[in-house]
Amino acid sequence: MWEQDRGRWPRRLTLLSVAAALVALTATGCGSSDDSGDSASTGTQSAASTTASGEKDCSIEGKKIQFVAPLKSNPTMQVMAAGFEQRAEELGFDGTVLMSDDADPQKILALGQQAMTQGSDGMVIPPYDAALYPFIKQASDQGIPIITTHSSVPDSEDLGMKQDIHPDPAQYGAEAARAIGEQIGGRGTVAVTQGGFNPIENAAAESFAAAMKEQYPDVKVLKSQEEGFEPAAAISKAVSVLQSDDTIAAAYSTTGGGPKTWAGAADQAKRDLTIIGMDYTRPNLDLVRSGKVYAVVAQPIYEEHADAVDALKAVICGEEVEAEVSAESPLVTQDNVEEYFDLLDRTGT
Amino acid sequence: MLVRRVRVTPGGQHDAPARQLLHAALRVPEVGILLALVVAVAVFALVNPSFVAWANIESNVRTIAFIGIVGVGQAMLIIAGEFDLSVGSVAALGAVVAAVLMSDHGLPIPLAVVVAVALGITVGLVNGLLTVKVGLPALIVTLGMLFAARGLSYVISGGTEVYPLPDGVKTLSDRVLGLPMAIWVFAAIAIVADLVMRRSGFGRRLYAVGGNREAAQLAGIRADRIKLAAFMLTGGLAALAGVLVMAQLGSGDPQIGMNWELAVIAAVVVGGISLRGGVGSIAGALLGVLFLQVVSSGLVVSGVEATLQPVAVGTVMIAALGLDQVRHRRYGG
Repeated sequence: MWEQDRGRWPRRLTLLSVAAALVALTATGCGSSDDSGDSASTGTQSAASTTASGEKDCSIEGKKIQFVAPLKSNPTMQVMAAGFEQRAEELGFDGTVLMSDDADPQKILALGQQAMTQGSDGMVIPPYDAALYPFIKQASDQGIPIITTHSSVPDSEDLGMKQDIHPDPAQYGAEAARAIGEQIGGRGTVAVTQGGFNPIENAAAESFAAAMKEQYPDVKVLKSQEEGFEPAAAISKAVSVLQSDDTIAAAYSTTGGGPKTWAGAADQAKRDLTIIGMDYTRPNLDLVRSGKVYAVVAQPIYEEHADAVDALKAVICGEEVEAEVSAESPLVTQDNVEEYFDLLDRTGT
Repeated sequence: MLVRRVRVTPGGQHDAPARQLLHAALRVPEVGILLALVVAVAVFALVNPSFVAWANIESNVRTIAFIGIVGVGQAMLIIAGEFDLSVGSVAALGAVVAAVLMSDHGLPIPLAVVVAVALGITVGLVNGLLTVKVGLPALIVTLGMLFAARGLSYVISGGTEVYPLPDGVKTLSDRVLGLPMAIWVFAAIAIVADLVMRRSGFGRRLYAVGGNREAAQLAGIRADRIKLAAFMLTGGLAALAGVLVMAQLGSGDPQIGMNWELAVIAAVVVGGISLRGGVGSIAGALLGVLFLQVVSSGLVVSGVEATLQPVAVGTVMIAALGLDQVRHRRYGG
């Protein structure tokens, strides 16, 4: 799923405003900045106070929080880290990014232990591997608030984290169906491809087909094909899909290579298609800008991690936060593509 | 004077010339895969005539051009009695290195391509030295290189596509006489390689070394050098294929060549090259590559369920090999 890790969440969660209201109701006491030096295991201690106007006035100055994640050279991960870092700085946290060179979960565990040793008031961790679950539980049991991001933790796992923020493939699949249905005027055939038949891509493809059936019953959605991750082979397969049905007017891919796959196939087969794929990488944004691809789904990787910091603040200030937050993944079209180029520029990726 | 030769069978019956011709044709090793290919094309075209539409043909040929270039090297290496599992990763490495050199370091495009191919040759040399000189199994050495080269591609590219590339890269994917450049490069390499294998001393040595290494050495052939050369050729061709894919995509994607290794080996084996070495031809190997591409594409065009396609590809592959064995036992060749 890591190849899909691009996206934007248009608005931050309204956690702070909700938290402020809760603060007023619960009148929880708030620690002063003086206790910032005691950073270990203070995560769940109340640190909020309420101003005369009822707004939250919770000092988190000097509180140590960490983003513990893999693949530090990966641009997607860098966007995530930037969301965390920039929001932590805005709020006055002492935020640290701890990232490993590769995706080996053992290295993440080592980084997490390092953070605990050095003192942590909270951590943001993408739980991309089940091997990380015991560490999340251990840290939570020690009173360190954990916010998990991007990958959802199965309901069966009780890890004690405060919040799990992740995109919802069913939501963006349905959104893609609405956009394609509208673009092709509610008629024609749509091809669907997946990088692989994994649960997330399956959910996106299935929700796409279901939403299309419901909203545009005259549109025929072909059964999903596996395009794989090798670009040349993916284009070749997409051309074959196009040859199989000359009524195909649009294509939806649930993987980050999809925009390039379908733009290449449309070019080779000399077909005019409405294409929606995943991820706001620069090549994909260029395809949107040029009009070869109608839209890409933007998973909110920057916002997820900024909101995770907001959630940490709320927790540290003694607020209740939602246990699970589904992050909206908007479409990037020619209308808003420049915003995403700006975001990539801003995060240096 | 035209002399008509008619074979007399033990039963005293005269074989018709057409039958003799058929028997002679069936003794040609490549005929088995060629027949399978013709049957596959006919079946898929019957199911959906658009299978033989020009766009689909061109797309398939373009795809086999990339894998075919790798297949040429792999075929020579397998004939020499070795194999290389790292070709897909070396393709990615070549693509990424060329892309970084031309976009980040401003190297002229031809020079960047030469460096990338040279790097592929070097990787082949390392594979060869470890296998031939150190004596490690090719399976382990090239499997290790598969991971190492892929990992290196990710490190060099920073885990993502190298993009954008200089505009001049498009010339590597331009059309020449109506066909993409990659197809012409592939055709040229295939023809030269076929000639080398059939007519040159190097080709004969590859067969000799792969067929019986000890006998080849007794005959004065330096088997180690021949195998090293084959490894280097395979690495260089893999990197070149990666560069051509990069040109088509307009970006240096570290995922280029993913899973090529097994696809290429399967294809050349289907094309009649023995994994034991010493047997097969470039023409047969490339027919094998084309056959598997036709089957993969045909299943999609025919509307076969995606989850069943790998099952069908595997079954057809085994059936094609089985038919070729029957042909071989009955008619030789």
